[in-house]
Amino acid sequence: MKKNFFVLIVLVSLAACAFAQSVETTPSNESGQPVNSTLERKWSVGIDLAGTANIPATDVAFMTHMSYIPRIGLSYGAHVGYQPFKWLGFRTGLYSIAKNYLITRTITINDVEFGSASMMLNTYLNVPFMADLSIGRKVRYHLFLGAYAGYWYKAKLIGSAQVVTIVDEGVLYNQDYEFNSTRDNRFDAGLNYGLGLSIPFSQRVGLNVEMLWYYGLTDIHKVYMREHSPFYNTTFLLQVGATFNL
Amino acid sequence: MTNRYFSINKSMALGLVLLLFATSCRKEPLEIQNPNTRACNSYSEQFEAIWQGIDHTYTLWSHDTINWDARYVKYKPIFESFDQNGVDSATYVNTWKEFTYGFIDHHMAIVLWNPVHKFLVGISPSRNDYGHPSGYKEQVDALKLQPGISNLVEYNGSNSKYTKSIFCLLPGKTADKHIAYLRFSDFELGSTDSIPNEVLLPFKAFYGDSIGLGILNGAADRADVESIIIDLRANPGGSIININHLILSLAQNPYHYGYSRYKEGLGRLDYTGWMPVQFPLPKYHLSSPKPIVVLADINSASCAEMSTQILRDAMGATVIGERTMGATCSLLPSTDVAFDLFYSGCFGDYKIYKEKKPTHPDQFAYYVYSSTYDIVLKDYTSLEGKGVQPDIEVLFDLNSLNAGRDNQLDRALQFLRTGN
Repeated sequence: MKKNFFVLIVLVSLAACAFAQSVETTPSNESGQPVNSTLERKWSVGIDLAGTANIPATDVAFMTHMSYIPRIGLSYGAHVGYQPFKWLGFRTGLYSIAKNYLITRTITINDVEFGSASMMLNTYLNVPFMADLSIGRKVRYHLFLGAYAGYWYKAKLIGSAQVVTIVDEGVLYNQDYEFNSTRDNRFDAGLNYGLGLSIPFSQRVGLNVEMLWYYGLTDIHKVYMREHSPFYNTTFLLQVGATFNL
Repeated sequence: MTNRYFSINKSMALGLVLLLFATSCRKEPLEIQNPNTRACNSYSEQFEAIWQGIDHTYTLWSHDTINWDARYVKYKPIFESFDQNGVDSATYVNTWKEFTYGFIDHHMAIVLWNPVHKFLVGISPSRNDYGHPSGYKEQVDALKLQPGISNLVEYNGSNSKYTKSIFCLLPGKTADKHIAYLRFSDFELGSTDSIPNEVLLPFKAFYGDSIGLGILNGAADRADVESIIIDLRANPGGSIININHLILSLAQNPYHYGYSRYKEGLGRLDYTGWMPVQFPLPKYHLSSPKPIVVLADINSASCAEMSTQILRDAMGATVIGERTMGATCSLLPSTDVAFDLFYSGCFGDYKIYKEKKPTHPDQFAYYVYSSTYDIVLKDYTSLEGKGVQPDIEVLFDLNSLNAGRDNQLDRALQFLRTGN
């Protein structure tokens, strides 16, 4: 699966470049005049901050009183961009992304609800690689297509549940999650795509606002049992950042 | 300009096609039937239901070493051959014993029913390399022969619905001092309001009248009682709520036993976080610490083992006898309510557990009795399958008992009287 990913990233990038080069051999500005290609091919760096909403995708099968519920979190990171053409760029970076979710189970007995809830607060380090297709004059509108790879860095378990003794209900546990090498797949990869707009303040500095999806294609659990139920994360980011053209 | 936008559109189209293709890379979820309500009409369906139910709801996979997938591959064809060719009852029972042998959960029991042989089969899958008869009656008879025994109060279980118990005073280090001795057959005492007084007399002698609230004016707290023996031999456990007033009343502080967790998901290793297992101090308790000896043996299980551990760790008690059974986790028998809340532990036809008969005698049925909670000590070590080890090992001796001598009790008395 990891090999397929890297092949996919390369294919997307090559295809985009191939199409561009098949119709345009000489770079030109929007007026159609040839331009100095070194001035137009720009590197940029930026920092980003986002709110995340993670949607866990797994099946509860017969555990119908159990639910996996999306939860929000934060993401931050930095990116590097390369713009070979005005309409096409590439971006990569390093991000810390929260992919949180809540597991609940509730049952009603004589109109009284009993249950438990466990919050999984997961921090992933993700490296996206995206093609950035854009149009527009001053304010540019972007379509991002790409893939990402990363690592499940750490996690925390916070919860409330009934305990063994009768006297305590709603006892909280708040503990660092101990990764299990048999169960947990810490390699994370998938597709990412999104829309955005960038607003330049000057030749050097601009603001970017983006909606991104990280569509996980790696199961967060290893296949260690015959009847394995897969679990994927899909994470939505609403991101703002600053870009500095070099 | 037109060519540029054309190339942008083509790139977008290619990217979207690749995106759609890649999104199909996610694996499809499984279809798994509810093991608590699954209907079975053949030997292989019964096998499949139990294998799958244990696979997804067994709580102790993190401690167990059984290769459950290999068992499926090996035994599935065998049960399919039973469907095709039939099977005699002995082979049926032995195959199930082999298939399920070796689980670390020492509470586990599997009860089977099939409409062909028409009788319930009970299997205990856990590995037991040592065992002996209960010895309860012989040990009580030997107790009554102890020199200097006084204040003997006994409920001998004439109604099997109620807990058997016995209390007495035995001579201490000096003539004016005593050792208070209490033994009870299980932890099913329940609400004392509804129990006949004759059943409670031994408890009242030891704890006092308010046994539901701890020790109040009972012999245990008398000044002339210098030490205590709690006899938990052959005690299979019961309801954990009884530990509070029966055991924690001998402490002076609340007690943090360890941690518990249960399953949270379909995966074998999907668990909740660790939840602290705390025992509060009862309203009435020993006014000051006293030396305590716990008598335990291989037939001490569940709450009896937990109590043994609590008495040693919280109150400095000395454990004399044998290691306990190793059934130290906790469970809730599966009604639909319990299963739907925990999705771990017991599952199957609850009527088999409650009434010893299946709901549908014309179908294959089962009840799997297994731990709901994993429980570990404060340092996260598990006693499951290992038990509580004694401080002074004295093995069960039936010959000695038949001669009227309880070697384990004698050793406890020697320890309390001499310090050795």
